[in-house]
Amino acid sequence: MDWLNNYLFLPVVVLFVTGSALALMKPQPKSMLILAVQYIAVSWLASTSLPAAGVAAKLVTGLLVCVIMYLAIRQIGDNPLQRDGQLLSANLPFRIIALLLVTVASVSIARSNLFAQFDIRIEASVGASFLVASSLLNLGLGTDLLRIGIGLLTLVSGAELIYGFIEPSLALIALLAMVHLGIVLVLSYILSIQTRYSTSENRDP
Amino acid sequence: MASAFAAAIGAGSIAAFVLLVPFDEAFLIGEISIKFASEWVILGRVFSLSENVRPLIGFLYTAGAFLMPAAWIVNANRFFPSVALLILAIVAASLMVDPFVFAAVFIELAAMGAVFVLVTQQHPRSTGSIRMLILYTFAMISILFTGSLLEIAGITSATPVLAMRVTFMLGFGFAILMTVPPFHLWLPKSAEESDPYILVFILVILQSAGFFFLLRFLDGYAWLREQTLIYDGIRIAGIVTTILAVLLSASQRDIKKLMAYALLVDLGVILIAVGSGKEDAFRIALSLSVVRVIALGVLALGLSYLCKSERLVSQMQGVGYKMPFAAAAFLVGLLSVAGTPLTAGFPGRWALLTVVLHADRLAAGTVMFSMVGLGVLVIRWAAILFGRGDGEEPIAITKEPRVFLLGGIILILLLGLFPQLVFPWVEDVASGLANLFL
Repeated sequence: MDWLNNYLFLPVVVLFVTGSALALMKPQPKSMLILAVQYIAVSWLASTSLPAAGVAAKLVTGLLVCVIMYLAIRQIGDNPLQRDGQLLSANLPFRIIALLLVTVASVSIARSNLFAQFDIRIEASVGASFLVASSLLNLGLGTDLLRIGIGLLTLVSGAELIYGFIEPSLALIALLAMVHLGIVLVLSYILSIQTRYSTSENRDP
Repeated sequence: MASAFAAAIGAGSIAAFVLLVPFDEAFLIGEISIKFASEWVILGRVFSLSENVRPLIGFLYTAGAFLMPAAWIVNANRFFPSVALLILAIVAASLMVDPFVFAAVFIELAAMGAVFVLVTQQHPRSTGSIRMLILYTFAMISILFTGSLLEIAGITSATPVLAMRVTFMLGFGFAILMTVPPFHLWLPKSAEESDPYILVFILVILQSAGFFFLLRFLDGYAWLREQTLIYDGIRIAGIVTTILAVLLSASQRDIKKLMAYALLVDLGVILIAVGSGKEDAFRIALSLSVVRVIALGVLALGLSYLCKSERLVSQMQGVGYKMPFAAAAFLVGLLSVAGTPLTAGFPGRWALLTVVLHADRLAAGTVMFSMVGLGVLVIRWAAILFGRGDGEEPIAITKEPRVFLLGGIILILLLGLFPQLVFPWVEDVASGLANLFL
């Protein structure tokens, strides 16, 4: 599997594409496919720091998260009142400019000496910084529950990508996998409660 | 009803087990020799029930056992007893795990569990809970990285730049865990959206976990204890929290939000005690964290009854005549949070005043301001609740809720008269944190 390390620029490019798509698109069932691709790219980058079993656990957790999220979104999709068929978010020009700004900021942070204490590969630090930055964009600009969920999952993915270089232990991989699953279960639970009991307070403009 | 009591008995039994049973030494039950190990290895990590965490875990389970039975009379979600036990177990794991920076992940998991009881079919709105989840995720990441910096980079007082960075990240993480403003924004929203009693349960457990985590950090790292900046930061956070919370609670027209800010006042006073950096004040902070369980529990139980349908000032006029026991429980709980003489909250605040009065006038003034401010609020709300209503008849209340409400009031008054009842536990904790309590 060492040959994977020769093409580490690929998952970084994939992260930029998927992160941008998730920030610009309205959360919908298709977004889960993008999120799944993002998890695959994160696992690829994580393979530089974690043992193969840890990478596999991370990948399986990520795909499981996407399936659960997909089923949760289907609940909303079945509700005709909440279906509007739009692909892209409102305020698209503003979101594109914001995305460009956070991309520049994240690359600058990755190239700075912020992570100098830890022996982190530049590809991983660029990818992780972009994930954290795009998640902040999702959390900051979205009031939609799903967008917040995607933002939180992306944030944890970015942070654990860096943390894998610091503490590559099985216990931490398991705990962070539980965090991913916990986030998606909480969101699915809230969505099911709100779909069943009428409120729709968290809608994206 | 049965599940709430079963969960309370379960939590009480675990508390008794943790506090009373000897570990790592054989003892006889009849003719059978039993030995419990204090350490377990799970996925390569040690979970230790050492002497320094046993009183803390015992306290959390005792608090849970105290608060759980009344969940039955506030008609909590049917998942509440099982989820509450799960949250207690996760928080206990956060205290047992080694290295203890992993506790941040466990506290995040406990916060996730909290969402399942805060958002229910009776209370489906979730803005406050989602805000809590976001903030706790930031706290987890911040504390995990701080812990790693401490372990790997070898930070001491001789590395000031790194020490400053770590202090900032640590402060950010703990400010979120302790709900210090501006990271309190989820609290009033959750108070508005959820049942007050359930919210108090969650907040008491999560804030206690954060508080114990902070004490263990201070106990574990010498350079951190030696930095006056840390204590100054905690003290200023306490002063700002207290003043802000008193002012905001005075301006509330929603009684549920008033409770949220009263919770913050209580937290602010505890932070002032910790921020003074004195051993006596640490003991006072610990005793305050015990009495707050009772005071806030009684306050929230009364409030849960009072605001079944109404909660704005204009709607609460005369409600005290309709529900006198609930109104009395709410007011006595608030009096205790204010630190009024003869209530459970008074001895701790009085002791804190005597400790900080000469060394820090601003902190002492803030504590007095909180006592007077909340005291005035009690009078205001008593006037509203027992003001001239429409001459309604009292709403019939069954025997069991009356027992809970009256029992809570009596307990607050008893602890006001005999504050020494919490001293043995405080000494147990102090002996476990040997670096902080020399």
